[in-house]
Amino acid sequence: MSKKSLKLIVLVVTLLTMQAMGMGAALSAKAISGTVVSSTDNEPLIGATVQVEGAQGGTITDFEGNFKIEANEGQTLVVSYIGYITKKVKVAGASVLNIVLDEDKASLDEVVVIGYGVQKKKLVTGATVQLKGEDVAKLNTNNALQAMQGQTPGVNIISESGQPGSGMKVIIRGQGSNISNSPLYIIDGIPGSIDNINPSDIQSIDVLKDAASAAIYGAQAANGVVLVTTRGGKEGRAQVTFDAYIGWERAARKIDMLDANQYMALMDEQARNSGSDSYKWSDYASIYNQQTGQLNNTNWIGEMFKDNAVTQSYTLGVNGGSSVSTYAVSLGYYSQEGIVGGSQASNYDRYNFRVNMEQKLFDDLLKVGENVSFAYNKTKGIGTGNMYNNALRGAYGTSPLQAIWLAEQPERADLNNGYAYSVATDWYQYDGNPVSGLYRSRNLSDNQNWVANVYAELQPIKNLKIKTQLGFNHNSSSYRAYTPAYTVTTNSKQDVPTVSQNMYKGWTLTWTNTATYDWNIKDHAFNAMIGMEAERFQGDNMAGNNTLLDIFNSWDTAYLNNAVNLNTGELKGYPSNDYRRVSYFGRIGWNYQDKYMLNATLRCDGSSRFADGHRYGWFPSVSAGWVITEEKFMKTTKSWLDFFKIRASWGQVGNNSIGDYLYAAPVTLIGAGYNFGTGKGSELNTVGAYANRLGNDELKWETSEQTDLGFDARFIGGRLNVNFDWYYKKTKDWIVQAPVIATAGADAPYINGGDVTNKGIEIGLSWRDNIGKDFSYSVGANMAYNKNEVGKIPTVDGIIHGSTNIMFNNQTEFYRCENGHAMGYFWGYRTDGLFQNQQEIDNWIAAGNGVLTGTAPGDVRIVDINNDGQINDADKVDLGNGIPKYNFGFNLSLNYKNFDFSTVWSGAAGFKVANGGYRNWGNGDQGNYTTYFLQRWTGEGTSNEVPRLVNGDISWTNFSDLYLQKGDYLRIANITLGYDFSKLIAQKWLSQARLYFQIQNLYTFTHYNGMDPEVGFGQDAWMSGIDTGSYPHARTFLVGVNLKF
Amino acid sequence: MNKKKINIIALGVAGLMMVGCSESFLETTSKTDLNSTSFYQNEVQAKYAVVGCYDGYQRTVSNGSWPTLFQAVETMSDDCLGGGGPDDRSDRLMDRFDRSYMPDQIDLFNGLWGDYYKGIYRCNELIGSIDKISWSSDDTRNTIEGEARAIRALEYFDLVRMFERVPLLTAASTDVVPQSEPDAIYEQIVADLKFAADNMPADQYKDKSANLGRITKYAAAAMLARVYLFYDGVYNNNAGGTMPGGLTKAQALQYCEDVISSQNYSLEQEFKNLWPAACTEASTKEEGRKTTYVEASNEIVWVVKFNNDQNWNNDNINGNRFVINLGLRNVTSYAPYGNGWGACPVTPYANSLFRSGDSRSTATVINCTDIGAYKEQITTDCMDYTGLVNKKYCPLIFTDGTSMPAAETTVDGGNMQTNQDQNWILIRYADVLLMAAELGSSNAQQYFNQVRDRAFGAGVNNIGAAPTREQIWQERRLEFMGEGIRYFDLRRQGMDAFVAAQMGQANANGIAGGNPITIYNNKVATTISDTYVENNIRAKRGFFQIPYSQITLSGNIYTQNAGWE
Repeated sequence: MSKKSLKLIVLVVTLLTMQAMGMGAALSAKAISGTVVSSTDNEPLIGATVQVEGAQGGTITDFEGNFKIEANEGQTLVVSYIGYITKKVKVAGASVLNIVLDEDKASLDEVVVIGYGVQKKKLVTGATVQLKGEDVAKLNTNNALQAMQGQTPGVNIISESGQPGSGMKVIIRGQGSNISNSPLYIIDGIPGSIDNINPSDIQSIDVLKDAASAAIYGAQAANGVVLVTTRGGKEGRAQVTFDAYIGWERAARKIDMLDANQYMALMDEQARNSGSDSYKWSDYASIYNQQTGQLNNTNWIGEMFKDNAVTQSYTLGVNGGSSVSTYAVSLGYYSQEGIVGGSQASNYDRYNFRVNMEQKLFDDLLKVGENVSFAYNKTKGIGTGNMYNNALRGAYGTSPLQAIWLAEQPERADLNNGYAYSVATDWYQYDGNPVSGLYRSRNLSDNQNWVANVYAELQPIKNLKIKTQLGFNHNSSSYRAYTPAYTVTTNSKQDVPTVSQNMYKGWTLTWTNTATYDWNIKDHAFNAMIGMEAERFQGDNMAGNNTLLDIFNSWDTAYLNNAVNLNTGELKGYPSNDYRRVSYFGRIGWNYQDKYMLNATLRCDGSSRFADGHRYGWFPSVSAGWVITEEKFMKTTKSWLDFFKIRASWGQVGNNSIGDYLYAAPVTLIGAGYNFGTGKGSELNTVGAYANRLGNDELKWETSEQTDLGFDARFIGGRLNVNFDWYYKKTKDWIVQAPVIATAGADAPYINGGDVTNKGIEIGLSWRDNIGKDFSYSVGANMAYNKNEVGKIPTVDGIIHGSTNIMFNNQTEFYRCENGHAMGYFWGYRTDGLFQNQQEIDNWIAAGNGVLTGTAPGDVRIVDINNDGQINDADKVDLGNGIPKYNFGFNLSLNYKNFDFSTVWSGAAGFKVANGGYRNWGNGDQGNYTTYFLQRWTGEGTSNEVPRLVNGDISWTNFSDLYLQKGDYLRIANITLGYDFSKLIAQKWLSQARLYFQIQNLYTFTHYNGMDPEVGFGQDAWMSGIDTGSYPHARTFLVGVNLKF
Repeated sequence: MNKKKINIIALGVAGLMMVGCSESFLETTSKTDLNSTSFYQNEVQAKYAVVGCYDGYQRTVSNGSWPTLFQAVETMSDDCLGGGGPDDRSDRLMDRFDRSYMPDQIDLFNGLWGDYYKGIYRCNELIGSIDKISWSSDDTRNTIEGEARAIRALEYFDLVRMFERVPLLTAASTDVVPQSEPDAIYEQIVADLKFAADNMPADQYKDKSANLGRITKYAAAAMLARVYLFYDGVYNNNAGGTMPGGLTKAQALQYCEDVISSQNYSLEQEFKNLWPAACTEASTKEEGRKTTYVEASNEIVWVVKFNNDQNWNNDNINGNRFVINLGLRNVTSYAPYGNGWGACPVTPYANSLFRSGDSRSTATVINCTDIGAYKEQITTDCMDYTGLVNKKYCPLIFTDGTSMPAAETTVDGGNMQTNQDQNWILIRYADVLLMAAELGSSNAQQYFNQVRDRAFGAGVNNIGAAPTREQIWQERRLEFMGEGIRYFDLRRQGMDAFVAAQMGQANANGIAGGNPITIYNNKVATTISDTYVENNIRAKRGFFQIPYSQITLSGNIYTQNAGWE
């Protein structure tokens, strides 16, 4: 950061602080002074608020915990400090008051965030889970979601890939939808993206898991709701925090490929098995180094990865305020280099800025606040998808016999251009030099996100709050890509340099109005809330591409204007569809002596995504709680059972995460042109049009209905906490583009139909205690189980079919959604070892079983399920699926004097991962093998697991359980050891000076033999667990500091 | 609660409810798509829609559904083997009519089937709206209706020839329509083509430089003769009777004679100039194409146009996607002959049929020995390799290996797979001449000799009497080899002839039980004639597999073709 920008920050902070200091003065007679200290350690409390009850203004304690205030005798001083119980002290004779505050340990009075409000935790009747901001921040993940892994039972979080800046797949209580399983993210009351938030800015994350809790968000809440609250200011002295870390990353696990000698031996064996002779290797000139004559032996995997890729983060924060005005300002920078190819191939940078402020006006009659945040991120990336879009894929297939560099250009000087790299050898025409592929194309996406969120809360009478909030979320992004001319193989080449540029701008405006009122009738406490919300989104896109960069042929100058191919290129401009939503909602709560409680909500949502007459949906919920420990008959257990609450809830929520205008039957001009006459070129096309999809005006909401039963309990003086939930979730009226019979002639219409049930349990346990004065510890464990079953898909065959050509050329369908099975199950042949000799094959056939054409000893034995003598689709069965049935996590933290230690483990079990040795089994006979294939079958009794090698293999080109492995794993996600020097330094102005070391992703216990069993990729939205060998997760060693002034 | 408080609450509630009550807030419409209820209303829209119909037929090739009709019928004909790479088992499945090559491939033709019905839907929507539109003239109406009906007829003719019993829809419907018997389908084909041939203005689209690709009344007339001959051969034992739709042999002949007497068409002087690979020299990218190719030849009666503006991402679905399958498998050292996937290798027997002096021989087949390329290891992963490659639809490259259309395209991301732009000629004038001769024209001998004259030089190898049917069939095989025509010509010669030719294609003399030819699979020399099993071929009667997905979607109302169960 430059000096200039530092000065600017200081100025801003100063201004904000000055504003907060503008406190009113009270007229009084007597000057009172004193100190405020903590009862725990007798240390002074800095920044505690001291006010005269009923009067305006007040003061805060200084560095020594001292305060001075004027008050009349008989008045009462109110002393408060965050995390401590507020104390009232009557002003009597003494003019020096020493006040001791007790820490607020009663977690029962903790509040949790719920939809459009907060609620005391002990009164919650739904299933929610909260993660504190500090627990998120201390894990130092680039994305808050990653920190939630293993800590929030029922929330399954899988990263899509290990690439910097890549997203996370979040599934709450099982997959319920075929269109989107992503929860709704609400940031400080308005919808937003959690990816854009600096994890250090987070105060708390609350996940609404059951329908009753989420139903207040109606049609957006079918996949659960994640409520993120960012840090606001605190009354008291300004506090400055500075958090920084730097880390070094490397691949946690790389896959081993064959070296040149092993490769040649296996290729020879494969040729002999296919009826040819061994190869005459000396015939292939280009597999030898032109100068030394040595055989090339390239470790492509090794060349693709970069060790010690740097990740770093810096966050500076200031917060404070007075009794009428609080503020929090933070500034953050985060960057992560990719471990594949380093920062030039994949990289992520993010800058964050946030100001949260709140002012009380007119004797607290009106509260006005604003949260303004800016996130700017720059991402460079490589392909991480299926076999056609996976930059690492080439490294598995390319033979070690190809050199990286052409002999005459051994320097790595020219990483930008492909020409310095070798091209395909005369041995293998598909060898594509994956390293050049990594550096050849350059791209950068640049995103800016402004969120401004202002609110006013009016309290005209006691307990009535009327709040209006206007949220403006503005996104703009640009993308630029450049590819030089290159030739790698006969099929992988480009003759002219190309450039493309895209720009997007869009905004969402959300206006929320709520009124809440609390009242009591004797022992009955009631609260009511009604509200409405309107949301509007729209955006514009421009995109262009062109060729021939001529004298501007480099990444830095790759802009559309510099492309000299004047008569061509594409330039597109199009709108992002205008989306609108209007919602009305209400909630009523009843609570009798904190013993019985009942909440009910109702929401009505209207969406522009549906046709007139089907726009509105109603989403009700009801939930109840019974705190048994409040009952008289439970007195006897009070000694060991502090608290026991039984909860039950039911609700309905909806999902409309679909494209716009899907109900309509559109007529398109796109691609309907035809080139009459002579000559070629897009400019010669005559415009045409056609109706491309059938309409369905009846299209309506997808609905999810869920019942939840659970309990929360605390034992043994609050040391042991237990939470348990059971749920049954049924999602129905999926929005499906069910295949229609081809003779209908246009793309199928979207219809409602199909349902899926998710049943599961969640258990959370935690134990927290001290041993002596210096040692405190806590242990937590949680586990979630979910079972998913599809029913009633509204297609003739009851199936939503999966994609093809994902793992190898000509791959047929191998996963699907089908009635009676889990969503996205693997569909293929069951195998039963390998045929060891011809006799076994003959016996197998004699027993009435089929084999694939060409089956020989060493090939896989496919189970002929229906014993009809043929191996075909009728023999394909459910082989499991890629979504874990069990998710679990452990955490442990120890504090001894100034030391702190913590560790988080997370794991998953009960799922399968498909991995075909990262090989293109279709048309890739000469591709390299992983070392797994050293255990192949080479004769009777040598292997019953890895088939023989042969050209045009049949064992692997027919999808079977040969591909599938258990993905069960337990990961040491984080280990941290810290030491706080502030006590040693013992300066009043320094309240924390912690230095820590951390290892992320230290080790993964698993039997899975691929790079990483956490595989989010699945091509279709409802599929996971297809390991095409994409970007693995890094192991990170980092060191950091936390400073608080 | 006092009154004041109630008032305040009431005010707050009213304030909340006032907001966003208006229903119009939720009323948004697409800014990029039209709506089908407001389309097909006027002549301008009809002109757009008829272009959409042409695009619909083009998409049966450009959409990327594999295989295309062209590749399927070339592979399944006796002129070609399967070829491709080791994993392209469907190539061999089709060539041998043997499902065991890829037993889980039960939807081989699903994409193609769907593409055809999408094309038919576009035609049906337009044809069904013709009466609602107020036309500026009858000629405009007849032209547009004629084009749409001719395209629909072609689509049903392709379907009925591939699948035989297919659902017949002449108006858009989402209902399951059971398969029709072939006669009903032919009746519709004849009615549509007759409308076009009888009503379209004679001079419409005469200027080829602007209208190449447009369907004229003569294109429809020629297609009627082709329909007649196919029906007569397959369903009527070539007896020459009246076919469904009331089309007689005499009418079919008359339609051919109309084409000939219109004098709009003539044979291209040099046969090779119809085929880019046959008339283009090797050249560098800087030099550009050196070619004598005549795109808008007067010989062309009906052609499907393609364009070079498709890449993997854009919506210009205009490329010829079958060409790339036929190219030399993965070699780029033999410019101008381009690289591709090595499908449809020509059989040595078919190549041996050309007599010396026949200029069609070198325009039809690339003999890899001649270009110095024939080695068994020309590529390492080639199947059914014979060293003989289709030249008529071979992709082209410059000397540096760059695909010509990919180098010429103005669209970003050009590549050899999507950018191929060679037009697919459906009917040439030579075909009209030979059909007229076969239908018994009094000028049969002269028509036949016109074709011979162009092939061998004027007067060389002329015949002195009216040609026999067998002579015409043999001449057609040579004239149209590699154009997607042979398979259907073979089918109309009767089931026994069809089976015999199939069984013999991998033998040196072309007949079953002959001397097997040597081919190379993965560089390994082998013979394959025993992979052709008579039962597999005869049982299927030359028809394709109905896609299982469609049978399922119909609730098993569709039934599978014999031999494909």
